[in-house]
Amino acid sequence: MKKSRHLQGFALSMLIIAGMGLAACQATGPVEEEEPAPTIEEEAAPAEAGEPIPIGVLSNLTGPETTSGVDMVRGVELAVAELNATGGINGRPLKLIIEDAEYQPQLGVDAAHKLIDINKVPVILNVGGSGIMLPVGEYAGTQNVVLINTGASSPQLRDLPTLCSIVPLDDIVGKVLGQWAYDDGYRTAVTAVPNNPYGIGVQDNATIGFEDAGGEVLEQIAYIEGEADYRPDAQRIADVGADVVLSATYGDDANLFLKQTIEVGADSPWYVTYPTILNVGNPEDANGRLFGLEPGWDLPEAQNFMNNIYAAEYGDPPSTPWANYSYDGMMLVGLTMRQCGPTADCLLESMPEVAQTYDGVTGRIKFDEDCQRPNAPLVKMVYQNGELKLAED
Amino acid sequence: MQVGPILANSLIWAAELGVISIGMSLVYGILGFANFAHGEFVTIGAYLTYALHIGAGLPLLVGIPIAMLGTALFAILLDMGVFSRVRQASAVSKMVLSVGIAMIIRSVISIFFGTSALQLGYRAQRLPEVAGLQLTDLQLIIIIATLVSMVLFHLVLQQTKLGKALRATADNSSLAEAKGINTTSVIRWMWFFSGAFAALGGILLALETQLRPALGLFVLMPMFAAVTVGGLGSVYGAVGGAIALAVGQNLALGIDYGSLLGFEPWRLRAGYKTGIALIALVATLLIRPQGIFGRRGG
Repeated sequence: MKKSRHLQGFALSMLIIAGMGLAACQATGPVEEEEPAPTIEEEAAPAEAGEPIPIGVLSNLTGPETTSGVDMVRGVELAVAELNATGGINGRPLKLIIEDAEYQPQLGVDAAHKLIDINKVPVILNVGGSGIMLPVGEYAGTQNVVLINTGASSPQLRDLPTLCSIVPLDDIVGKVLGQWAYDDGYRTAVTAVPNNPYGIGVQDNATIGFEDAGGEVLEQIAYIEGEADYRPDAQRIADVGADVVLSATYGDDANLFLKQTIEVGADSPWYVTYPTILNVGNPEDANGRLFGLEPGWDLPEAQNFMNNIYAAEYGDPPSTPWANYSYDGMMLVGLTMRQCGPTADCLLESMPEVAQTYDGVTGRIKFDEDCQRPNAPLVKMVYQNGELKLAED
Repeated sequence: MQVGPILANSLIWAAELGVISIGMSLVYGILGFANFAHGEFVTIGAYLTYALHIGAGLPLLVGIPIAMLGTALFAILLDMGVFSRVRQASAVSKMVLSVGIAMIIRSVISIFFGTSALQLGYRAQRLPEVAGLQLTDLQLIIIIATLVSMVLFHLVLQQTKLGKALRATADNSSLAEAKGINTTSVIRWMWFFSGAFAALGGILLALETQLRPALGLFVLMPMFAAVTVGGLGSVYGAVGGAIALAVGQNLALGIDYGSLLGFEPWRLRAGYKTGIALIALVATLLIRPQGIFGRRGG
């Protein structure tokens, strides 16, 4: 009897604690508290006369993939430095308040509440991925705070009332990806995406792009992020035997997928969105097999920004194009505020008009009726000899 | 249903899970509590190997035994420093304590090695298909290493004085002590084996996949499911439970339920793998709480 009670106690405690532990750590491992880097404008800001205008930045600075988050924060920092050096917002300097979403929606929402309710920011830039952007956007909409999206791409973002995107959404990118794979001669595909709004958005639109072109998607696989082992998913991809894998994988998961699909004999090429946020552990797993569609950075203005302005401040050019987009987003916010003031209403009403006169490092920005950017440049890339290169058409 | 891949995946997963679960079962059998820090021994073993192989440049075959030894010593020190001081506390108290220790270990690993995934750098090669089984050389090594270590441990348990002392202490520690067995020493050896086997499992898992600070956390639920399905506190039950669970999980994922019922092909998503382990755990506790290989307690 004593042993039975022991067993029951063991079972109950185990279920509760294991459930809590797994839920908390499903997507990422434990994260370290990261002190935001000191901002440039704190060192040299002529615009010191007025009260600083708080600007929120919410990025993934820890978690499964941090390169893009760091690049985005730096892009905003460079823009703020430039704006403050040229007078700020009519004499008032901009002051950045940087928070880490850690790739976890709940932490992102908590950070957004802090930025909106305590710091009283009129605008937040970047805001992690779609899984974080969607709940943050719902709240920001109720508080009339503008979100400048430079890193999320789910088509569901169109429905958020105070969100404007500097990057294209996946109803554009996903379709181009599917079309590209078909144009390269592949006729059957399997999709493998993280089971989150971003992944599902790519899955749905890549399928549309591929099938509209004449191909057939044989199976759609939505995997759980951050797993230790993707062998069953890799096996499923092998069993389906499609010509090509259309994917939205990123971070460390991508490395495991590329490795384990080869091990089970599925060496089909992978066509992915945003290949610069993939971590490739062993180049042999990806050489000549990994193709990706990335927001463009091949304009001369972008090259100048990355190789001269960014590199001068941080030592090296950014390894992703995301800094360019966050720089443009912040510049557009600053230039608009100079016209009509640091308010959300000003930004929402006047930013599309200001954009028509701003030649950004990502090109001229044109917003559609949902404040989305349908004309963002895209470049095709291929992984060769251990690095991503521009693909030849 | 493709039997070959299901069998191959079951074998690999059973090998990794089985060797990890042995230590968990040992601790439960002798000290009577669920050690949540056991998953961290898995992680420590893998990261020690990384430090020795990638960091210090030692050959993998040299780094692995040193990492196993290091993890085993860490387990002993953990017992001497923490668990031995709460020997008389309730099982739940010790379990909660182990949860805290697990969190601390995970955080320390993150501080030293970062949160991004790391690779041990072994490049697996596909072997020729044999009887429908398609494995890589690494997977074959995983299966053989696990089998060899389990056979050796079986011999230790059955053929040595230490093994008899371990079994006697697991059965009834008070009686074992009364019979002159040095249970303190036996417990140290138990931690040694627990740490070493967990480390081996972690190293094999990291070679097959990649290193992350949460590596041990990912195997926690399947590990608990394996030891529960096999029979709590039984070393052989843990191995049997791991095999049963691995086959069950891969079978459940591999079956085309749609075609079986005359509809379009439809399979469970691989993400439900952990859910299947949870269902197995709950079903075992409801139907046969002593597990498949356990004896009914009174």
